[in-house]
Amino acid sequence: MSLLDWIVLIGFLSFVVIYGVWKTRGKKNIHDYLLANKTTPWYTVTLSIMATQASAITFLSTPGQAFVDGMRFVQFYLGLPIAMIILCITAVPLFHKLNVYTAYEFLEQRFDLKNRTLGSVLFLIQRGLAAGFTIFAPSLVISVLMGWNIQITIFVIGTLVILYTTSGGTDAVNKTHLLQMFIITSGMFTVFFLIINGLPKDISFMDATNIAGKMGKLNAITFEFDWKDKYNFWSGLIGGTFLALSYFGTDQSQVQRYLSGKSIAQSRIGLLVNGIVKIPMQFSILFLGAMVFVFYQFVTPPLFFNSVETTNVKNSQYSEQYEELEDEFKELHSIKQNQIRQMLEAQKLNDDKKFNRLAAEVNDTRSNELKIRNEATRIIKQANPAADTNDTNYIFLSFVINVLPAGLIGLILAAIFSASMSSTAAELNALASTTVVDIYKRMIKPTGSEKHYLVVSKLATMFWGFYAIVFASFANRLGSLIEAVNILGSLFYGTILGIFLIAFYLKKIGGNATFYSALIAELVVLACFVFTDIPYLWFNVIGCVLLIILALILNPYFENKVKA
Amino acid sequence: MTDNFQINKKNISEEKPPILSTWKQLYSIVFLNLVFLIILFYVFTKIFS
Repeated sequence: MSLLDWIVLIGFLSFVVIYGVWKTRGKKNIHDYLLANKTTPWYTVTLSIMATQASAITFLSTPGQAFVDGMRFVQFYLGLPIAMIILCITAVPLFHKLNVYTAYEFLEQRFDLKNRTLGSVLFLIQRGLAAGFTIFAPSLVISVLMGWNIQITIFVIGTLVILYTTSGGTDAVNKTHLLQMFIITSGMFTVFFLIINGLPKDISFMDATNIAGKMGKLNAITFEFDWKDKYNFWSGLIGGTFLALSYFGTDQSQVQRYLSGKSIAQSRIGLLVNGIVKIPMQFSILFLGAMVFVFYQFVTPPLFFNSVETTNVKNSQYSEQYEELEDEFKELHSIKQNQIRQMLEAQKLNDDKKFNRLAAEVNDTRSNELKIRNEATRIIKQANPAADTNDTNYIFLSFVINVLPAGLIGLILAAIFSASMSSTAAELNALASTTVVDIYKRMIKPTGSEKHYLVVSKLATMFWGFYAIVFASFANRLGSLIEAVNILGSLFYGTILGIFLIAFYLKKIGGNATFYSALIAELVVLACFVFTDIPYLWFNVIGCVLLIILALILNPYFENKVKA
Repeated sequence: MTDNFQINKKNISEEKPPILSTWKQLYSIVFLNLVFLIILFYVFTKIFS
């Protein structure tokens, strides 16, 4: 990395921290510290919601996702606007009028203390571990490709976030989100224009789009229903609505963003604008990935994008075998380049027959390339059985490092650091709020002064920050952590969503029925995890649906008991 | 459900949106935008496939 890149990276990160600390100094009470005194305008609410959701791994892996699997991942977000509308009608006015600090505080007003405690403890377990992962995942990718020490990368990201989040609380998180979204968006647009500019002179933007389309990368929508297909219109619209309702309606890291809005109207507008711009934003990032794919049709890409694993295999007894595959890959790539150029020529001459024949040939050559890649990953695994053979997360950053000019690498790294810091800051802020408001203030010390709670809130933010750093540091030695964290989330998310759905929509169901149903549903989910082979994503549905059915069955029994 | 919750909930008043005259109109815009994007993505997929 050049000196200019270092100046851009360090300059931006320092500016974010100094701006965050200086702009939000002098918080006097927890209302100001945890809810930013409810003074946040709608545009800050929108950007803060988007920055919280967009973690670094989103920007590292989404373009790679389009490179490998096309743009169909955009369907995952189709339910989000519907969830935004539902939350604006129900959750936003209720949370505001009840004047709550956390979503779980609402559960006590609606049900009782035990439901509030259950919701907040489940959130603390799940989000506490996720916070560590939000730092660990980008640190791993950056460290592998830049050759940096992962522990230092984790420490730098974690410490910078702790500095401004502890100092300024929610206001600092929201205000730095504005800067971070600006650098993330600027970085993405810059890369997009450089890719188009970096294509061969005879390949126009329309040619590039046609190539991506003919090679199956612009498959944004499919209406065919298939249970096994993760991303189609139906799973995106139905599953996506439930997932977005759960995430934006019950996860304090998001709830806290719109709770800090100036008014119900400002919070609502913030969420609705997110509902309008989120899908086009994800579409743009995926389209960027499709363009990286086109770029690599004219420049030979590495056979495998994780350079550490490539070095490992080249230093092993399999090096000769691997290098032979690399030569074959280069040869096929050169053949494919000629086929693509001929295909575009046929298109310009309106020769449909020739065009379709050449398009089929291009895809055949691509299939042969994929066979070579599969063989390469098999060898990588032989050389190192612990190797991660999924290089999707490395594609985009590898492109940035190898292709972009000096200065811009620093800008993109600043964008990735920003994305990681923005999500982590919101998580620490939410974890501290829940710890102080739902546990400490409610159950341990209810009669403290404003100053006391402010100090405790700052200490809680620091505690969760260092906890996240320690977890991220050990994560490297715990194997496949992405799956572990996803499984852990799925074990609890269904139950939390079920409790909130009952609270919002089933007014006749009381606290006892909800609480005991939640405990049973949680036990069933844990039993499914231990004793069955059910894919973990279904735990969300099982936990939520089972809780609601049980609560409906048990409620008359508890109601009669109360009357008696 | 506590009495406190019911009282507070009854007090929820509808704040006017800063643009347009009702929230229903704003929700419709978000929903229609979603429908528009789905159609746009479908046409995009068909044209370039």
